[in-house]
Formats: sequence, structure tokens, C-alpha cells
Amino acid sequence: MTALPAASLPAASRGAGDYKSKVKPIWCPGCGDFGVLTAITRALSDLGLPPEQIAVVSGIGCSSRIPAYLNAYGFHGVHGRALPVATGLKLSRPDMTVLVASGDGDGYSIGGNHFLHACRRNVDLTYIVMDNRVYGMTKGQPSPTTEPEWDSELAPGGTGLRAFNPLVIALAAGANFIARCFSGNPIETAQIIVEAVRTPGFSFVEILSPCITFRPDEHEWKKAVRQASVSETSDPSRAAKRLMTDDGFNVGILYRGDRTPYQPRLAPVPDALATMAREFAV
Amino acid sequence: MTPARRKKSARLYRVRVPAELLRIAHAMENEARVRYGELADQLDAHNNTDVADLFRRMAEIEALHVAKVLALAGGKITTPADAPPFPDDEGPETAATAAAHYLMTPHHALSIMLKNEQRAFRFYSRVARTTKAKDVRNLAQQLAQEEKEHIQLAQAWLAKYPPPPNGWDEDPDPPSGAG
Repeated sequence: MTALPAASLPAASRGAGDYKSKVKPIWCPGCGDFGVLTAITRALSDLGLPPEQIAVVSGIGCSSRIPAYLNAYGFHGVHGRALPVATGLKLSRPDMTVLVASGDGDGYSIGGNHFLHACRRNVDLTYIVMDNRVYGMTKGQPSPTTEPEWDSELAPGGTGLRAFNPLVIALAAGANFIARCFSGNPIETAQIIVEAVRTPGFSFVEILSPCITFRPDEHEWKKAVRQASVSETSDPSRAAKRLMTDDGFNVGILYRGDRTPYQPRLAPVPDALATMAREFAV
Repeated sequence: MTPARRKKSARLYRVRVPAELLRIAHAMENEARVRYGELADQLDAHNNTDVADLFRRMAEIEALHVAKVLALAGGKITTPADAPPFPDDEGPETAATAAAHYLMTPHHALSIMLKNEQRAFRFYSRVARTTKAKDVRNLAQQLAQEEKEHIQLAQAWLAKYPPPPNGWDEDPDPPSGAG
């Protein structure tokens, strides 16, 4: 599917509030995911997309509750399996804008295999991962992105395991758009989500989203994040060098490629209803 | 705020006509109203009703400000009710969602309100200082004066709610995201 041309979008006909559902979020007050929700609704408003043309697919975890809080089609799915569901949806309904929401546990551990192949397939999806470096819903176990030395009651002394670097993995596996954002800057995050949706192919947006309950130390992220000092690149080798050497707090669009998205030609849909009516006619 | 963002915001202070300042003020007050309402809902979900009620009251106060700005504009603000005040950042009067905590006390809520009102005061004061248009300056000074009164109100409320002892946020059985 081609990118949505900005010129054809209706002019600010829907406000961000029109993309919020009536369901009240139950995340812990102070959770970074509230900032992500604000960013997504703002982005959808900026894109001017009708709610019925949007689907949000998620897995399991705190962050995966987000489809319920949005006024769009939603699918709160199986742990780690948001990407296959979203892939099937997008391939069968290429006219729809499909966002996929996940967390660092759901997306990189339970769903790690799907992450690799979603990048490789390059279906036109926008994958938003709210990374808080902890399993919050199950009360604070280390996740794939947790720092090896993070000491907690559930991992005394830390895991000692090297943290997963999702942006490098995404680049190596073939993602067409790679960005990092911070939930504390919802407007900048919205602007990047808009770019992610407009860029054809698999767009990966990693959002640093603090868990203030199990990782109160992540309050300090607001002091650590900074705009990436280099502009976006379409050169994978430059992007690789940049991503391998940054400290995880550079925000912005870090890579934008030009791979053609995977979209097989759809077989004609049989007139299923008419066929059924004939079969069941008495 | 990063230097780049501060530079962007500084550009926004160069308001040329009163209608533009009223549009920004209307959006700022409305964004603050919505955010206080969201914070109230968040605290309600975690049975912290005292603070939820306080945030709801702040939302009501902001709703009065929205109406007042609209009246100043003669009802002629045509942008959508939830249009953002600025393209690059949330308004100075909008509470950051990250400032909340499920165990927060009225002292924390009022401290958030105080900071927001102080930021709004600085914003209008800066517009008044930097504009070359006399009518914009007069309007900005009027809006700054109102924010100054709100600062005094927040300070008076805050005096009744001293900070809680250290360890207020310690919880041997914290919530999970499943509520």
C-alpha cells in the first residue's frame, strides 16, 4: 500500500478526543502508557483517518490494553501474537490502517519470533512497542530489555543478562522505518507515529514508557532522553553504526528505508452469501 | 525542555493579534481541563477518591476559564474544542500524566496545579514582554494577572495540605496493570 498523501487528508475534522473510547484506562496513574495513548489519538487526528478505517491489534500486558481505550476497531489478542493477527488483517484488508501495540515482554520475548519475521516480511503495519523494561502486569519480573544489573526482589542482584536491542534487531531483520520516542513527550511522539503510518512497509516505533510502580527509577528517563543529534538516514550501514553505539535515549526517526511492502494480490472473494443461500435453500 | 524545543516554543510567543492569543488561551485552558479530568478518572480507578475529587474540581475551574476566554473572544473561536494550543508541545498549563501516582496525596495534586499555573503565568508574561502590539500586550497582561490569582489560590490550598512523610509511595503489594 502506498503512503497516505498528506494533501488528501481532511483538514482537522476530528479532534484527538474523537479517537478516545469511553472506557477509562486502569493503568497506574503516572504510567507512561497514558502519554502513548495521548500520542496515538493526536496522531490519528493529524492523519485525519476515519475511525472505521483503523484497526489496533495488541497482545497481552499493560500496554496491550490500549485498543480498548481507542475509538477504532480493536483486537486484544493472544500473548506475543499481535503481529501475526495484524499481518493477516492487513493482507486481507489493505485499505485499512493497522496499528499494532505491544510491550517489551509481549513483543520481544513471547512474541520475539514474530517480531523478526514481521520486519522481514515488511507488511505495511505500524508497530508501537511501549518499552518499560519490566513485566508490569505480573508485578515486576525482568524483561528482555531490562538492564543486566537491575536489582529487584524478583531478580536479586540482577539477571546478569545482556539486554535485547530491539532497534538493531529490527534493522537487521528488514524493518523499513525505525524510530524511538519518549512517552513524556506525547506531541513529538505523535509526529513520529504520523510519519510511521505514512511510510509504506513495516514501521517500528519503540516508545520509552516508564513503569512508575515497578521501576520508579525510570522517572529519571525524562532527564536522559534527547533528540538524536543526527538526522534520519536511509543507509542501513550508517543506521547500524548509530544504533549499535547509542545509549538507548536518542529519540527521533533513526532509519527510513525504501523497501516495497509485501502485499500479495488478493484472490477474488467468492460471493459467499449467495453460495450459502443456494446451498441452504429449501 | 531541550534547547531545540525551547527555541520552538519561543517562536510561539510572538503573537501578533489578540485573536491569535485568545485562540491559544482557549486551547490551553481546554487542554488543561481535559487533562485534569483524565487524572481524576485515573485516581478514581485506583480508589484514591480524595485526590480524584480534587482533580475534578481543578477541571471545573479550568472549564470556567475556557468559558471566560470564549467570552473575551465574543464567542468567536472557531477551532475545534480540543484543538492543540501549539504544534510542537503541550500547553504550559497542562499537567504531565507522568506526574501522577496512585498513592499521591492532595499535597501532590495541588503542587502539580501550582506548577501549571506558574508556567501559564510565565507564558502570558512573556507574550506581554515580547509583543510589539499594544492590544496583544494588554490582553496578555490581563491573562497573566488571572493566572497570578490562580497561583495565590493554589498556594492558599497548599498551605492546608502539608507534604506527606517520606515513604508515602511505599506499597508492599503494588497494583498490577490488570487493575
